[in-house]
Amino acid sequence: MTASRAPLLLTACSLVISCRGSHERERADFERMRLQQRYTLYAASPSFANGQSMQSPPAGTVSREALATVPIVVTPQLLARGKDRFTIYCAVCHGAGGFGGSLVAENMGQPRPPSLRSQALLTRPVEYIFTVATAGKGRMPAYAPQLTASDRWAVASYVHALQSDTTRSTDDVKDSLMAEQIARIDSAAAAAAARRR
Amino acid sequence: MAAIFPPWANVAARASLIAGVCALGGLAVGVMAWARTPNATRRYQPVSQPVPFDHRVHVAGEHIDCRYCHFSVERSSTAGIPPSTTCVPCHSTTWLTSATLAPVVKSVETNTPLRWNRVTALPGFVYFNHAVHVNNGVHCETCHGRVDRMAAVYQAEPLTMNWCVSCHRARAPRLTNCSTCHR
Repeated sequence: MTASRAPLLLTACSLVISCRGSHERERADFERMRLQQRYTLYAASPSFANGQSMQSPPAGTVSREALATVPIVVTPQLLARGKDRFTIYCAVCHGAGGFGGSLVAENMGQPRPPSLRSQALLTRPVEYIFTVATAGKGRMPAYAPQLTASDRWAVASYVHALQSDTTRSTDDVKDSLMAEQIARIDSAAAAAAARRR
Repeated sequence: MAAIFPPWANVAARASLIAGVCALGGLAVGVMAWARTPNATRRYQPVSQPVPFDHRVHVAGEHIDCRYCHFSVERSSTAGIPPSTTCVPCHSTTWLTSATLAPVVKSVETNTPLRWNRVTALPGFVYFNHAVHVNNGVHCETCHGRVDRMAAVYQAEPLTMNWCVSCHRARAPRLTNCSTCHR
């Protein structure tokens, strides 16, 4: 008799446990968490004319951070930061050594990114590099969204240091060799175009 | 009067009760096990996009750093989708007139953002912060996999709570209380 009751008891127990109380409050709480009354990333918003939930600051806004960093003091830390940012945002086109030998430069067609270590750029002040990084020049876009003002000063300082550096690292040699190769491609193409004409 | 139930009915009754309990338990276990499969976590499923952007060409082929486009990753909770204008400088001479890039051109001309489809989704109550992970030595590929080898980006990891917590327990044991991620 007791043996036949055991499964019955087990079933009853599991039913009792599963029916303990009502979970209405917990369920409502979970739903409130699951579907929060907030904008998710890049969500559309009916409250703004442009329909975006993320709004840009008014045109011409200067960040407090930008005001606080001028004049800059060139330190090894600043140059290290400059090199780090340069590698991400500048070397893509201008090459790891700044000679203009990069895979992107090879693929993008003319006009190509110039060498940052040319004689013409060597005489430019560090402010010039900062301005170009901020506003862009020719085909180069503005890098103000990607780089904060202090990062742009760091990059400009690093580029300036790079220009005065006459030693050549392995990266520099690779970069300059590739830049020469791209220049050869361009001159060959120009010669071919001249022959056609 | 003949017996209504034959003697084996006793065994059948017990067996069906046990089977019923096992089925209930099995169902619960089954649902929980299924929730962890790639099908349920939407793992390895390439997501189609308005522009078939190929990370292999840009990352592996041209050595462009992830942060070149996803530039808010080091200072924001989100890695960020680059503005359509990011494509223009290089693509003003290459591929610009192709049908593939037409949505980008339209987006730039009309100043309306491209609507990319989400690949990695987290519930609303999970507050994930990219900056804090990236700045503390968690690399992009730890969670996103080898995007540089993906033709169309897919979710590479399960992104279940257990998956998050396993790493937190091993590498940041102080950050394992609920409110670290849930608000």
